[in-house]
Amino acid sequence: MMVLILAVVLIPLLGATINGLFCWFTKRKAHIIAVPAIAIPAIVSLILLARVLQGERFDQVLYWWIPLGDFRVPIGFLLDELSAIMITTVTFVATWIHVYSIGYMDHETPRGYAKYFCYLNLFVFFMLTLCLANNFLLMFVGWEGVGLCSYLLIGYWYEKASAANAGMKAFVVNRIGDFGFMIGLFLIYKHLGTLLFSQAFASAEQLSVGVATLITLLLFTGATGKSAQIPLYVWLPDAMEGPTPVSSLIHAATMVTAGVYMVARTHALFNMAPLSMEVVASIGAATALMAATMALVNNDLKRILAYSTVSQLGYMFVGVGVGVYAAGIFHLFTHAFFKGLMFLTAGSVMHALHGELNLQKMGGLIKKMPITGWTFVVGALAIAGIPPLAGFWSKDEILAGAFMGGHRIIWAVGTFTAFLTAFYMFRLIFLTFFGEPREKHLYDHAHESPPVMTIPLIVLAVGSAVVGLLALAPHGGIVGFLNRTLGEAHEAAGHEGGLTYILMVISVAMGVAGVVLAYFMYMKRMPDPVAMARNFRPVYTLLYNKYYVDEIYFAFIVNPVVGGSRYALWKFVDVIIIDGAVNGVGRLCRLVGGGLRYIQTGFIPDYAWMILVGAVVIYWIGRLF
Amino acid sequence: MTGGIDISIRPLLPVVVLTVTAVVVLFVDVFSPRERESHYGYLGVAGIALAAWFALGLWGKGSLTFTQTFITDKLSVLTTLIYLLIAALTFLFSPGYLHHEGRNLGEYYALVLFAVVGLIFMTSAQHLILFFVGLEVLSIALYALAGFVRQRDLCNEAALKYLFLGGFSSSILLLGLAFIYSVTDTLYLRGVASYVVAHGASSTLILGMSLVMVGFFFKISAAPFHAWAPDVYGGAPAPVAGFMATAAKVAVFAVLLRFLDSAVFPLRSHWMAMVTVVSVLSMVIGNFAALRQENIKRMLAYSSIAHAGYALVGVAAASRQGGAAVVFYMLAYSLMNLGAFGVVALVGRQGEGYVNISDYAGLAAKRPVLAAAMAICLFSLAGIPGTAGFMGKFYVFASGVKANQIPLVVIAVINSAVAAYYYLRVVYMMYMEEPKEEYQIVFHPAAVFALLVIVVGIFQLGIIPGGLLSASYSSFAWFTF
Repeated sequence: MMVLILAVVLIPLLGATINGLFCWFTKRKAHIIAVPAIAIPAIVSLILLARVLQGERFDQVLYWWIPLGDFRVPIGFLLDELSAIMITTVTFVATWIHVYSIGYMDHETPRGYAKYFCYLNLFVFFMLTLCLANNFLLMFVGWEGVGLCSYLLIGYWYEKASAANAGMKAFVVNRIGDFGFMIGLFLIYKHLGTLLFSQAFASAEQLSVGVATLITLLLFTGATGKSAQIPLYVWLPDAMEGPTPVSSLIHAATMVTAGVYMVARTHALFNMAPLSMEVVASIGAATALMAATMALVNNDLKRILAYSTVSQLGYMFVGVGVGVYAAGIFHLFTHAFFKGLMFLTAGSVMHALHGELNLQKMGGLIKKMPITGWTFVVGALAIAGIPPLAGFWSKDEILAGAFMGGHRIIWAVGTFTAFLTAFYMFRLIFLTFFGEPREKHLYDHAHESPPVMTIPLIVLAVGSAVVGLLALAPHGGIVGFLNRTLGEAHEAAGHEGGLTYILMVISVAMGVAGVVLAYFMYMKRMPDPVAMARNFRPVYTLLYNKYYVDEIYFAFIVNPVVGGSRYALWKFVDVIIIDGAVNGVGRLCRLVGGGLRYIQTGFIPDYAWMILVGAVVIYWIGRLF
Repeated sequence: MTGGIDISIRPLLPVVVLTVTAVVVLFVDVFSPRERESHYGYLGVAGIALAAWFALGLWGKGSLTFTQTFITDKLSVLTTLIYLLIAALTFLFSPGYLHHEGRNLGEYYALVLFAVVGLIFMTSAQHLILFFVGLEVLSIALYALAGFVRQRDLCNEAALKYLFLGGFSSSILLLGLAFIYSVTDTLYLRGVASYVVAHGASSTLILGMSLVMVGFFFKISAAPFHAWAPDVYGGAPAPVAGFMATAAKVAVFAVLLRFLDSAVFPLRSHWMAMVTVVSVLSMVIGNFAALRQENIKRMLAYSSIAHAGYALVGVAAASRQGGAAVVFYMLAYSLMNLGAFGVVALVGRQGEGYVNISDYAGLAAKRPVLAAAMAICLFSLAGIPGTAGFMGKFYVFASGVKANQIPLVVIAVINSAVAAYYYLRVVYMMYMEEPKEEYQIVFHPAAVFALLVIVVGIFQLGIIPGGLLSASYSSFAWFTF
């Protein structure tokens, strides 16, 4: 078991190392290393999952990395139902995204190509470390590592100012969250005296409710940064500056779900803090609704998907917030398939249209690129919650959990968001793939992507269609499987009783209604969306400008900080004091270097004199003390 | 045994094996035709392996023999194993290099083996005269090795400088021993300590101790006694420079710890101040001078001065933890420096014509494996987490913090940040610059194998440091620290 786990974690690292150190050598062939470096762990993950299914479990400290008195840093792994599902999802989706990247990145320079695959492998390594860690510190290493890779890949085209800025924004916003996370870790160590999951969770009951609430809120702060929730979601839409497969892997399927995973992993702590659970669920619901409304009017293909991701992450937090942890993770699992798929199809469209992202310039593309178009439709049906596709099962599980747990308002918000989700997704589809082409020359040059890109689309589309059916597997399906570690939800979720069927019908109806409304508005022009926008101009403008949140942040946080920095820090502290000091140090270094050159004459008598003088000084110092 | 003198051959077995191997190498050399390609390196490695096997047998079996002058404790066994590893790696790097220079001769290997014999005597000595004899055995071998490629002027200059300045520092050390003897009437380490406990310190004794320590500082090339190092490392053949920069330093650090602990521990307030000052000077001078070097051998020489400074932080801690950290640090340091000098020897090619940092431009494009090995060694020298260099620094600095040497540790940390610049500059050169030439490097399989061992070692110590650390902890179990 240990060997297999190590293989899963270390093979991607090996791939990253080879492509990193030998980028001059691997160049265009980088994928020959990079793809197997993920595919092999994917297969091994499946073996591990099978063994976990049979009831095996692994939790062991391999060794103590820094044994330092009573503070020791453990390197150890935990494989249970939760981490097994996580690593299987990550490696499976990552494998196909790596394959897709071969086609998508073929215009890059040879070394850029190798660098790209190096970062991508490295990301998977850190993500798997995050999922498999058996202690908070190693988890944090993975947490920071995926953040680093995300930053590097958002800024992959760093010559472009917007890409470099987006990378920076992601980095800074995540720092804010990580700060909370770190303080949470310190508090855990202070109050529980351990950073091992097993020990910390076993003694979680000793915590007072106040401390538990503080710790969990701090942990959740970290989660809002990484998983793009209110108020720290602003970095994710900008992160779309990175290559599209990166958006698909990191900013949709895997990394951004780390926050959800973390909350589920630490459920023993969250169970101690009902207030924190309320906060998680409320923030999740609010984010789901707000992001969905922002997606309604946007015209940028990738940004719509980004808002949709933020919104879906909100659903997952609703799930873990109302105590149906397994449902939240189930949604994470299905979302990885359909959202990964939709980003890849968006990439395929971009590839065909030379980077064009504006929906208003597309239209009718399904005739030119049928595989891309139809796989997108599958993904959209899945996210809209149309049975029997994947999204239906997991979303329904979450909403049912919320309703049964007595969170009626959250349930209502979630259900309404389901309607919005179906609407904006099908608006996107009708504008992109159906109707008349609006830009003739773009349409004329469009072409279907090569098989290396379309095959991953088909695979993920099949996945999006069927993985939800795992809910029907024996012994409670995937939810029952996850509940073996996450504990039975206290509200006794289940599908008994007529009420669940009613809830199910309502949510499906909402999805269908969204699709139908989108069809009438964007295919039949009744009501005409342009007229709607005119009639509801204030609302439209508000949504179009994303509630002015970026502007508000700029006005109240960024600009004061920048202004203060510019006048107080830059003009004075930096230019006069720091630059003065740095230049001074630089000059001093040169001076020291120059002085050292005079010392280093090369003549033996000079050296002998130095030794003698040094000896006198040493003796004198010895006498002094 | 006769006359109550306690003679047991077992503790000496490694030394005997090495000496016999050296003599055999010399004999074979005499009776073989000049133009034949030699395989003395492999013969030497075989001898080293046998010696290591005997040394391992001594682990945990402490003994004090030869009228209590020769100690076999865990510290001496552990350091002996380190010397043997260093010598073996040097032997793997050398044949290809020496073949280029037309100097692949038996005496080279014999000299290295004799040097190791000197090293073992130094670290096992409980009596300062035995220590001095060991030091001279080592030094004379090194003088000859530094000038081994005698047709090269730089080499001769290096040997001559090292000889004169080495002689000068030895005489200072000897003078220090004389002062100590004049006060205490003994040169047994423990004897000195009991005198100090009984009679207290006198200024003559402190003078003697200072002069002895100057001798030590010279050998570890700590500032301000470092001036010879850049010239000698820069001029000596690269594999020899690697051997000098590592083996001698490991030994002198071990002896320094033994001397400070066994002989003059009661005077610790005096020597802690000296060590602290020398540590700061070494770090600052080494790093700042390294910043401006264009010759990679000189850069590595200055870097080794700075590393001596870091390791002295652990000595200044005057604790068992500090001692263990220093031994750990020394092995880490030896691996990464041997690797770096090994790559320098390969890239330098015949006559060491390519030893400027600019000669490494685009090495990664043409010789990816070599560049990767060099990059790993440099990352480790810079102290990037996951490598041996990081762990070494971490333990040394941690011991400094525990001993309340906070200002010293702060200076050390700032210095290691400065140092990253000149190490990573070489990495940048190798990976980011366009290659200017074809790099007609002749690989020698033994050298590649040695690089592999070093890279594995660097990661092993960086990722799983526990084994060596507990071994070096137990080496200091009996220390008074």
